[in-house]
Amino acid sequence: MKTFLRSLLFIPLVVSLSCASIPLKQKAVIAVQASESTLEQAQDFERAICFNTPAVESGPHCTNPTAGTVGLSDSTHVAIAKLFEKAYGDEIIAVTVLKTWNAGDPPPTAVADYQKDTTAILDLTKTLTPSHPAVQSFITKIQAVVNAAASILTTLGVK
Amino acid sequence: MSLALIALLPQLISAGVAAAEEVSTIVKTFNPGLTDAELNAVLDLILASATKHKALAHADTGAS
Repeated sequence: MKTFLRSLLFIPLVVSLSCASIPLKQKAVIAVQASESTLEQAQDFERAICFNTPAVESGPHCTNPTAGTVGLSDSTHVAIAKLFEKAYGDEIIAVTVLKTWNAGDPPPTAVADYQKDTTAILDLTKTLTPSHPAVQSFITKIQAVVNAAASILTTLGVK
Repeated sequence: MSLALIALLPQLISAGVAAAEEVSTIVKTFNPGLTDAELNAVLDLILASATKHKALAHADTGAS
């Protein structure tokens, strides 16, 4: 059933793959959606390092022994969580502004704040044990978020 | 792309038929451009997801 539904969903995609020019607002939505996706993946990854069972655990105390191995102390986990919370907050503001945004309008200032937050997460991540594969993966994921934030700004004509 | 299909996306996602990431692919590849209402429907999906993850991040800060 799932396969059938997937076919229904994606066959039209294949038919419409010939991309002509996409309106600027649609490009912005694509960039924001991509950024949201990378941000969630990075948060999920940090939580997987911190918690034994991230699907049911939360809070300021890490329960996964891996956290200690990679240098993710409880205080660093909390600091990263605060930045994630702020990044999501800025993203929510930016998305809300985008709903009434039109090409030619000034870009939402929250996007620049979002980029600062994600860069701060990247800086914090670099204080972990850099040689550990999990940390390297985390850095790669956060770098993707920072790049996605830059892509939103580029799309909106800021850089 | 019809607004009806956009409206169906959250149900497809929660049913595991489409991953949230696939919404990006859907938005990217549908051509010609989506209408403002369709784009805003996608933005609503992003808002809902961001709000959910923000709450999770807040819980991890330990703040009440």
